[in-house]
Amino acid sequence: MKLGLRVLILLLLCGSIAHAQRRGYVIFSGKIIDVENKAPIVGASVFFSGSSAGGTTDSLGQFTVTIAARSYQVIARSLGYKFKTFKLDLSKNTQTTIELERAEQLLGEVVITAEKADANVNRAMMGVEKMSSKTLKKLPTLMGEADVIRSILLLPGVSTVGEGASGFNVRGGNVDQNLVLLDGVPLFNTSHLFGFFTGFNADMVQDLSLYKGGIPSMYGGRASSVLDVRVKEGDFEKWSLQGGVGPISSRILVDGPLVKGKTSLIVGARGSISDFYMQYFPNPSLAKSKADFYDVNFKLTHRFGKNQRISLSGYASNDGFKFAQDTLYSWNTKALSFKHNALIKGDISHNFTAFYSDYTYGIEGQKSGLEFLWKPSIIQTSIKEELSKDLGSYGRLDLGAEVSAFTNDAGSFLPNSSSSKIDKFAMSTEHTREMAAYVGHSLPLGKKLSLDYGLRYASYQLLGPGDFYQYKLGTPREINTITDTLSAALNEVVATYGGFEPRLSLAIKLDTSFSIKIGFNRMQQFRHLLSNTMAVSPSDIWKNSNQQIPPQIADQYSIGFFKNFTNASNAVFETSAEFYYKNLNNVVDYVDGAQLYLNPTVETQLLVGKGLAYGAEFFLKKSRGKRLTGWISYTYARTFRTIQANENQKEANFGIQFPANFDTPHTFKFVLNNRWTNRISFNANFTYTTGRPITYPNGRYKIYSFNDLYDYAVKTGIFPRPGLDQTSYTYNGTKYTYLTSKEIKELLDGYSTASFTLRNAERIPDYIRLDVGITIDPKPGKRWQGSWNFSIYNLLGRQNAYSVYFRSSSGEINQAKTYQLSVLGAAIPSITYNFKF
Amino acid sequence: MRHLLLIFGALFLLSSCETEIEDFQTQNLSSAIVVYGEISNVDGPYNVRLNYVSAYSPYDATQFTGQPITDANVRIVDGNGKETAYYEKSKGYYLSPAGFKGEVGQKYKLRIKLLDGKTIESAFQTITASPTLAEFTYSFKDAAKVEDMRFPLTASIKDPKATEDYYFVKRQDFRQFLLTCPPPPAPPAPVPPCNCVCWQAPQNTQPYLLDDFLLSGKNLSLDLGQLPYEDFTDWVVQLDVYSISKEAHTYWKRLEDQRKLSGGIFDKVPAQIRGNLTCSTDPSQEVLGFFMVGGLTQKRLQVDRFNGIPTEAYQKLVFYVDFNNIRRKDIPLWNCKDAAFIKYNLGYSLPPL
Repeated sequence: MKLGLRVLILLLLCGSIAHAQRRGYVIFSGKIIDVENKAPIVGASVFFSGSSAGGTTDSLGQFTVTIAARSYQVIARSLGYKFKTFKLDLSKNTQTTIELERAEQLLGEVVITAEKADANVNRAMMGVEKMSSKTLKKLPTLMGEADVIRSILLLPGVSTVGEGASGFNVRGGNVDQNLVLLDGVPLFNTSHLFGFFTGFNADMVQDLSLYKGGIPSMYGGRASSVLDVRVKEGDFEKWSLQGGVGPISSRILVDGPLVKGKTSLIVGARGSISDFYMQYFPNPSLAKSKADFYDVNFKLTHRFGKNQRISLSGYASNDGFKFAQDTLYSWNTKALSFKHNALIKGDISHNFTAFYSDYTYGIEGQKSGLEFLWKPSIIQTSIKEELSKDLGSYGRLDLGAEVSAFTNDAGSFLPNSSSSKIDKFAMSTEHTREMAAYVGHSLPLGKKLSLDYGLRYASYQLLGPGDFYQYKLGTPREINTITDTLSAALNEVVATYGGFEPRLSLAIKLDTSFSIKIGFNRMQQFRHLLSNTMAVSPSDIWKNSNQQIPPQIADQYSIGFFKNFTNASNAVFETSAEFYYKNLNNVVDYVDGAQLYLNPTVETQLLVGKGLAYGAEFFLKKSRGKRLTGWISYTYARTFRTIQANENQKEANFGIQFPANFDTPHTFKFVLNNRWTNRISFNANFTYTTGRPITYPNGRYKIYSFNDLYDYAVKTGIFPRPGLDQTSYTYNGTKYTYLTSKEIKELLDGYSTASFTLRNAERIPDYIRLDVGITIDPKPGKRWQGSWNFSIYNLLGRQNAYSVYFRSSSGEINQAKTYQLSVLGAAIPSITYNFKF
Repeated sequence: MRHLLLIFGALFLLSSCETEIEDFQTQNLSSAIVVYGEISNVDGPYNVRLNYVSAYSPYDATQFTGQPITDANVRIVDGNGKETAYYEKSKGYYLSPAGFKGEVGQKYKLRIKLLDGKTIESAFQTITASPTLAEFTYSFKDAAKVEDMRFPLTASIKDPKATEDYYFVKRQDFRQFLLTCPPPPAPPAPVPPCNCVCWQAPQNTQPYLLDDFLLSGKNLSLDLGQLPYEDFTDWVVQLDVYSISKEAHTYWKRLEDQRKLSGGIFDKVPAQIRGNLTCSTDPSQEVLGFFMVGGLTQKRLQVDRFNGIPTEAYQKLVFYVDFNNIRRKDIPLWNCKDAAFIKYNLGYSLPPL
């Protein structure tokens, strides 16, 4: 910790000294806003003729550039706006406001990025993907739902276990190793309807950034990736209403000024309508079933002058799933956050965030006489301060600190009616505290080099009150190796972990369109999702690191080559090849047949091992063009786990390395956006993936525990014996039945089951899917803006295997059969109408 | 997960589907030895079967028996060190000697020496007290149509308080059936005797697994379902209720979980399930199966489907039996014991309990 603070102070001093040394330079700062509604434009760029200096607007639409004092031709531009150029004499510090006009009628759209064309080459970081809300809505959809997580699955290096599985996997990381931030608030479950849809409304999304590698030091807490989703602000000038009606859900979004020019509000809500028509299904079980969800977002923003604002945001989502009168699964998230942003002295950006989030999940049993309720939850309360100082030609310095408190309730099992026979089973509530401080510096080193480096220190404490078990050392953890129970008092520290997380990205620009980058980052994770099923389920529990379960640590090394091409018509082609190697330490695995629910000694079911992931991602993107934009990517990626025996645990898979459930070596993705006219565009995406690993049987056996009858029959001599069987034939339309001789000889049968071999040694068939869609944008200039989206998901109607599995039926004859399951194994058309006025 | 898929199938135009793969072939066939045996406090003889794992492919009765392991030395060892040798009744099928019976409170283990010198052993387990059935009854549920008339079965185990208890239940049904006698020969030929009532015993390999987690000291219900009313003959349901160890319960639970995989996203990742047997002389020799030790209670319930039935329901049944040719009028038989077209036809009498 001491070393971290020293480095942090040193970096701060370096930044300040460097800044003070600048002579002959002026500060040019200002704001870029929309000419129509005066809303700040985030991510807009400012360039200067004859200078390599430039700036990008922050979340307040503000920018600051330190530049040599002289006259310039200034160019301001942003995605979806006409660029603006003007002459400016910069002999002293200057502030200005630049207004940009929307360019909706113009052809030429950018598919994936809101960044300037050469950002991929220029920035030091790699493994970063950005997507605007506009791109999100242009992609073909499933059942008309523009969807954040389905969209990022089209990016290289992002995969999923299968159709409908919750979450996503990035570069060999588990689902719980992704930090998903919705306006700065981490989400513990990102799905609706298990995993078919994303848990938040795409209409509310301003843009999103996915960090697969090169993760800035401001992010931490999860081991593999960061998906940072920013939510829109309300309009400060006029009210508008927009919405959409689709086959699965309907949406509405209202935004406008509460106080013109000062206070704005945006509220979005989405709800499923599946329960409405499910009641009309002829199948009585389906008619009594339930599969509904909703989510609501709001954001209230108030400006204090030009350089300061506060905002209050809320998010609530809920899912309920029940089949007939069986069991109700539910999961919901409630989050409230407060932010204060300010620009201090023209070049220091201050962002303060405080939030509270509550993720509650669980099961409600509704069987008569056995009604129960099980509702675990995680409550997080955090405060975070981030400072960013523009150092002119010395780049940008970022500093920050955050403190979080977590309450992780493992969920007591409770009777849920007066007639329930169920006894109460109490589970513990764990309390943890996390603190982190970081520093990051983006430093241009001349024209050829740029460096992004940072250091984060994260500290974790597991606190009392509670009972914590001590296990006998030198023997595998089991319930009968508990040696002692530590009863900790309130706030007593039970376990402590912490460590530095260095982050480094270096770009070497060989020319203006070609760069080579190298990077390293370390991430730590103190909270783990326990799931020993194929895909994570909403009832999977989160477990804090404790004395037995150390934090997961991921070290990623990467190198990338980035080259852009521009053709005669100024269409830009971005190409890249990125290679990564990732070591995962302390990954969590499970003993065979692990019992994870309602287990106060769940650590006896957990194993700790190593993970390894490596791969290569090749990417070709046409990011700008009059009509055709899109990308093609090929990814080769492998990810493995090794769980070896040691003095505290047994091994898994005989200690032999095995592929992770989501190890898919070859992935080919293709996304196309073709604008046919000003209003009509065609979209398509194609995905090919190697089938995921699976464990196949290496035999079958029977347990003859049900053979008493057979033994009796053989002993008494009633088997075998002569008998008569029925035979029939049909003549002239008449069926004739008669008896023939047949020996009555029964089968020796038993309980049949499969013998399995090494874990994940085989693969299911490859996955291929093509989606297409047509979007008709609204007529420009009209007050009521209606747009249509027609999509066909899985146009080829291919029955992609979700899994291959082996089942023995019981009953009169035990048959061992092999099945392939396909989810969404047909072409699924949908039509969605969106409106805005 | 099957529920989830059914709902999504409905929502997404029935787009989820399950396809049987008929040509799946096992790779790298396992060489594991399968051992299964039981011992209880009910009179023997108890059996132990030894065989190898067979290939995994569609059902073929001759193939799936697995190669029997013959000429093994099979012994039961009790807690006092007393050994009882089994004898090989048929290939791979070993029986305890007459008069040998397990005792409540005594612990037992299985020890097997194969011809090739390998020794397979289980851990000691104790026979606990036989469980008690709190209720085992039936009722009649009338309906407008015979197809909807039912005999709901009710059964529960009386769980002792203050102990952690696990139960394993086998169920065997015996259904009495009636066939049609041929018309008597023309007089004066004597009318031969006609036996038209026999018992059928459909084989059932589905165990019930129960435990008293959160229900200690209460009656644990067994979900036995309902019997149909397709004839007015008797129906007997036999329950073999074992009180078993937690380890045995976990073993069966894992087998059940794995056997019922639906391929869904919340299926557990399949894995080899090992029981309580190991090869002590060659740890690399995989041994599957289990040696189960438990207190046993056996009980039969006779469901009378003739007496006490409302007249109107009975008359509907008579018509139903005739209309659906339940008695097989088209193939009359003098002796129902000869009916090979009735599966698991036991003949005239039930096995003794």
